[in-house]
Amino acid sequence: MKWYEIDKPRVVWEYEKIRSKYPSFKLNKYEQKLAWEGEVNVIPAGLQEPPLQIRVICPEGYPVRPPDVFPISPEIPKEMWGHKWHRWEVGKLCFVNPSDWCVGYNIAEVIEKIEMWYFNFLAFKNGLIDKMPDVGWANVEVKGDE
Amino acid sequence: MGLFSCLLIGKELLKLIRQCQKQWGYINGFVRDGVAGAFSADIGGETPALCLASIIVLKNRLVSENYQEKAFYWVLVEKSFINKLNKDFVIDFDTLEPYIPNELAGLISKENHCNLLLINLTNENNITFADIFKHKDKQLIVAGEVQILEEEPSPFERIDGLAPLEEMKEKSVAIVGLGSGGSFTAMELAANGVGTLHLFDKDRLSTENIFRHICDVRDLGRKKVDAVEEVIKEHLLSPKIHKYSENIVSSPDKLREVVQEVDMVICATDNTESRTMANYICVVANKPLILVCSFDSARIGEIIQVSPYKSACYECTRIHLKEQGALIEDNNEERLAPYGSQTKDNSISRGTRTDVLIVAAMAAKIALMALAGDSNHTLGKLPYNYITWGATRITEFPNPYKFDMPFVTLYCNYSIHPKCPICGDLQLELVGIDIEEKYYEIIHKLSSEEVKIAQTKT
Repeated sequence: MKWYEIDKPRVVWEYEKIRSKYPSFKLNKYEQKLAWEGEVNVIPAGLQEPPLQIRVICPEGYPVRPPDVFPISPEIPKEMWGHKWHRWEVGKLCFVNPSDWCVGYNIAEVIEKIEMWYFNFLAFKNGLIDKMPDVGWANVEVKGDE
Repeated sequence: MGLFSCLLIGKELLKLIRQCQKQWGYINGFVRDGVAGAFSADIGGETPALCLASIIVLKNRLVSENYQEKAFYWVLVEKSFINKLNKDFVIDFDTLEPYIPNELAGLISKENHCNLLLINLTNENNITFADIFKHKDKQLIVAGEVQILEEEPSPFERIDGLAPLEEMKEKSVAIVGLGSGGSFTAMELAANGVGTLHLFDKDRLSTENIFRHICDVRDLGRKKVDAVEEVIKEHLLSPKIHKYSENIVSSPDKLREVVQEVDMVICATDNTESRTMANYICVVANKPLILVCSFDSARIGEIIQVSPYKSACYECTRIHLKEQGALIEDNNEERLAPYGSQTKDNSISRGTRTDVLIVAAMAAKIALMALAGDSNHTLGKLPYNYITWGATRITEFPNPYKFDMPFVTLYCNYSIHPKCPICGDLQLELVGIDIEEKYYEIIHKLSSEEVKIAQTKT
């Protein structure tokens, strides 16, 4: 019995939140799990980089366990993993310390974190900063804001 | 030589002996450390007779490597002799000789030590078990004790009237976590007549467990669910037991399914994540939950009674405690830390067996009260949902973890916290939305998408 078959208010709550904040994201089922797919597109100023297409998968243990976020496109090289890149070896993006995850967080907040992750990732990959920050946005101008 | 011997024998087997055509025979079983167990008896048939209660005999710790064919004798004797032996306690073998067949008397007289079950044919209760041994050129008989085993034991005779047994038989409880506390609680529920237990634990029993556990060294390496089931049954308790070895955090689907059909869930795990999961699943399913744990080296016990949407859930209590300054922050970070972080020894769960089991017993009692419900007047009702117990005087923590002296129990009532992400005001954001309608719209769309994807693939 899946969480989304039982916790109907949560499904609706999450759906409404994403609809209002990230309307381009689509809800799918991926291997019997609920998964949101869409793009994050906050890019550091001066860079020509594509948006990052992601799949946010709610595991069986969701929402007590955090969702798994995988980049779909562009492909991120396998060797870019570990704390340096804030990415797990299996390719998942690290957006929160698992022990900091709280059952009250939602997917809209996760997508916001992934926007930040991608921004920081691009800033680091392109040499705009020395390391990906553990918390918060890299101190770099955002494309479109300059 | 075992003076004051005690014999275990099935009621049915005794009946078979009384009904047979023989006057004496052998009994197969064991005799060791003054205890004898009758497994089967030679009553003249092709194979020895046995009975259902023989299974109980077979479970005795002393049976191992001590089982033997013809372990001791049985004989039918007159009532007067059994009465005499029970009265005098020690008598000469010569006194017995006229009462038993010559062939048997001849065999016994050659033995340095043997045991004999003396049965009176007419009186069911006229029976004794004797040690016969040589002492200073004499052969003496000493009376022992007989424990007659019921084929279908009635373990609840002692609590009849003290617990609502008929109601409990219909109750079904899921117990998550079979450590020292959880296994003990499971046993207590079974011993109070709860009819069905669903046991959840992913682990196997290891050496560090057995010091406080209901299982012992004979269960090392076994799945806890299997070992606990067997120990419960070894106590002649017979609830229906369902076992699950899933990790309830990474694979909670089975727990969700089981929660739908039980009357209550008891969570006795020792980590915040699994407690959060049990709480989330129970609140969403609107199912009563009792969380029990010990922390600070088991000096503090905590029991939370969750009645979903009526009183505080586990998350609510954590938020309340944080606001009270009672929930210790982890490394000064502004986040909720698990209670477990108040212990500095995360590697093994420290604490004495006594302290852990007192809290587990309290949790079992609270569970029974809740299961019995308002209509029951035997067990009573506890009008609090948050209980802490101090094994010793503890002053370094604020209330509700401050205990002026050992053995103090504190009671509070926590209400639903509006900021609770599970049962708080989250629902307010959904005001005006027809949840059912919207949910089916979302899921229907999802199914259509799936169909579309499938069609594209083909």
